Amino acid sequence: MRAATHLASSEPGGRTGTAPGPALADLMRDLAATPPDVWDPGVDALALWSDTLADVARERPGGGDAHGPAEPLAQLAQGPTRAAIGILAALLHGPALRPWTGWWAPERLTETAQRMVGTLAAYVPPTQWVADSRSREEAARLFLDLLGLRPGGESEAVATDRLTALSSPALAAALAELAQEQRRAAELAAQLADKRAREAAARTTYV
Amino acid sequence: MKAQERQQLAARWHAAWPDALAAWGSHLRLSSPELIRVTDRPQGVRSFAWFNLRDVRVSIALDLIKQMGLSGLPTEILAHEVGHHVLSPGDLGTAARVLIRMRTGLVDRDDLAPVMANLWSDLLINDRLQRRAGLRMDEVWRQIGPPRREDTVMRLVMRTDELLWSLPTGSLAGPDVPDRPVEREAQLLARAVRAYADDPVGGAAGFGALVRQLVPDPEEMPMLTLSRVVCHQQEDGGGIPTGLASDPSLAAPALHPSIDPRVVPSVPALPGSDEPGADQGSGPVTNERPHGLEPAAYAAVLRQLGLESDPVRAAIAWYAENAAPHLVPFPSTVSPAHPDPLLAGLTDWDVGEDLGAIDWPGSLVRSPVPIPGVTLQRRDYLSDAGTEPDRVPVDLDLYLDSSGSIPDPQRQRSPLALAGAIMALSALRAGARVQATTWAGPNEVAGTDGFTENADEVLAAVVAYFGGSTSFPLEHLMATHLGTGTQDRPRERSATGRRCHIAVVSDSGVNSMFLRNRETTSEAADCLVAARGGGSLILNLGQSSRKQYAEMAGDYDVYTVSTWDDLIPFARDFAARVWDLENAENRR
Repeated sequence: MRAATHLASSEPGGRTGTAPGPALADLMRDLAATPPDVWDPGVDALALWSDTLADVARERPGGGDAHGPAEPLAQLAQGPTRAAIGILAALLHGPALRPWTGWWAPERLTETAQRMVGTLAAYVPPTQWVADSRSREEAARLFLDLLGLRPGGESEAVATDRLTALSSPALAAALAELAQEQRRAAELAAQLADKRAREAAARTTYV
Repeated sequence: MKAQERQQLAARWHAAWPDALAAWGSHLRLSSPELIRVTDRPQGVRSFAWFNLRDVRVSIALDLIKQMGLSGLPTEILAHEVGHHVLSPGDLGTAARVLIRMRTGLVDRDDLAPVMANLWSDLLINDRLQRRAGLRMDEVWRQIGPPRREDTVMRLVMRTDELLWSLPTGSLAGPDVPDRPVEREAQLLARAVRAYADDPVGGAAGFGALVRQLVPDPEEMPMLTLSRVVCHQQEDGGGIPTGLASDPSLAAPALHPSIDPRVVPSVPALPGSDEPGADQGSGPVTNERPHGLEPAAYAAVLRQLGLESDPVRAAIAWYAENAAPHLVPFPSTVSPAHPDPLLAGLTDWDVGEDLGAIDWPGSLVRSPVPIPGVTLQRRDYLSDAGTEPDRVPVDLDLYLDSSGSIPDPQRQRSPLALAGAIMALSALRAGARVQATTWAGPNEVAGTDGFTENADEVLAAVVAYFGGSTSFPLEHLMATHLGTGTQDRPRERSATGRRCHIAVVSDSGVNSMFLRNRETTSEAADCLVAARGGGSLILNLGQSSRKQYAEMAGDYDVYTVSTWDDLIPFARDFAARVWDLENAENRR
């Protein structure tokens, strides 16, 4: 069940639109203020996420298994991406997203966390989400986008544009492409120079 | 523009000057900007602003400012010009280095290097001002307007600025051109600008490589817009900054930013770069230029900077700088230490001499009644002058081979010319005089006009080049030492009677010194005797031939090296042996 569909504006291009969300600066501030406990190796990330879901997600009618919705994160909650889950949990508790308590189903939140950790954490380590300003902006924008929101005060077009410009996976792909081209060109140049050197050596006359 | 309007505009701009300085630091002091008419611009300047590093001055053409709609942005433009004096390039030496690295990056389009160097500086300065000083550099670009579709380089720069300053896509760069995308390169350049924000020299080669690769077809680089918009560096001659000719890092190959670990941290270092001694068989040697710029490239850089347009003088500067580390130390002037004066006897003290010189005990012994001029005595002193050996350095008569197998010193690094420079400059430093002659075939002789103490003349002779056949100028040698004149240069023996050392640097062609029409002649040996300072033949030969040449040379000392490069340590040791007089005495 996608929580935000009833708020979607009709946008051309076939994409379900995003609703206005919190101001980007507020969300970035919350990210920067991530409590240091998330880095504690003794913290059980999965349990933390379950508790977070219980706090901020929309309540399921009739209760139900509190840990069920968090299960897909079990794998990611073990390794080095553990801290990323902690960061997102702290963010959901933060003042910027407080007005949206109860908007999303737990499955939606878990899916969002999965995608964040899966795509962004591969290129930008979670420490950078908190420490580096550019990565903070990217993490905040991506999180909002995955939740179906856009930064408050920005139009759809602007938000999309900024998200694309900041995207680390896209950047990494572009840079890898360029690097590949460079290496290929360097190889060709080396071969050419080698060939020329051999020709020159064969042509030298000794006075 | 009407006079009153111009005055008002100038007043507003002068009023904004302190803010422009404050953008760079609260203690910065620079002389006021020059706000002039567009017609008074120096020749060669096409943009609305330019700077001169030697005079540390900022100049703006007010008419163009108004025309381009920039009148309302005085702080931004002035702060940008100040940035050229503070951040990039800052001083002439850095400007030269940026230009050299930019030429390396641009490969075959090094005519574009000055404009690209300024564009690179502009990128760094604008980013610093927009982000740290809070000025509206993006507004400047908006007023100037988006670049044309074909102007790929400006579109790249504009898109980079959009990325750096989080601006919406297309607000500075205009609409995207599908067949000439700049998105990937702009992302890369944005990272490079941040990585090299404080290091304009480090990132210059990468920027050049990026631009060169982005626009493979040279016809596609329209220069009109660029030269209107990029501030111009205006230099007018002057001294050459040191350190450019002998710095090996300036000749290092350019690294494209996509494979530069400083820009893209995840890039592994290049395979050959950690082990310079490793086998380089798979590709060209990465350290193919361990000696830095070649003389031809150095001359081109000085010409582009507007510092020196004569290639011979540029070559002289190159060889002087490269020879400098190998020269003997300056001899300290020797003055005998003043020994304490020795006491001698008593003499009469005359009226008018120093009252303090009167020796009272001696005077009273002579007579209890002191009468000036009669009985007063003073002490006499003797001084013992120290004996110092006379250290007169030996003059140098240098003959450098310039036949076909020797590279042209003005184009390429020539170890033979460098060795000659080391010996000649060491001799000059020790206080000797030098006659340098470059020779090749018959009638191909160039040199100083007799013995001289002028380093420039000597070096001009050292860098001369013929590339002809090999025929030693025996007449010249005889004219110098035996006093017989020749048709072209009648000459007398060096009048001071100082001893002179004859040095000949050559290869197997030196046998023309001892053979005339296939018969041995003794003129060379006679000259050696007349010179009284010894003679050396420094030859690039195999060890096996040494004996044969040693026999032919007679009393000349024969030294052999196996490659031309070995000449340089040899020349250094040779110079130290002959001209380093202090240490030579210590060694003895």
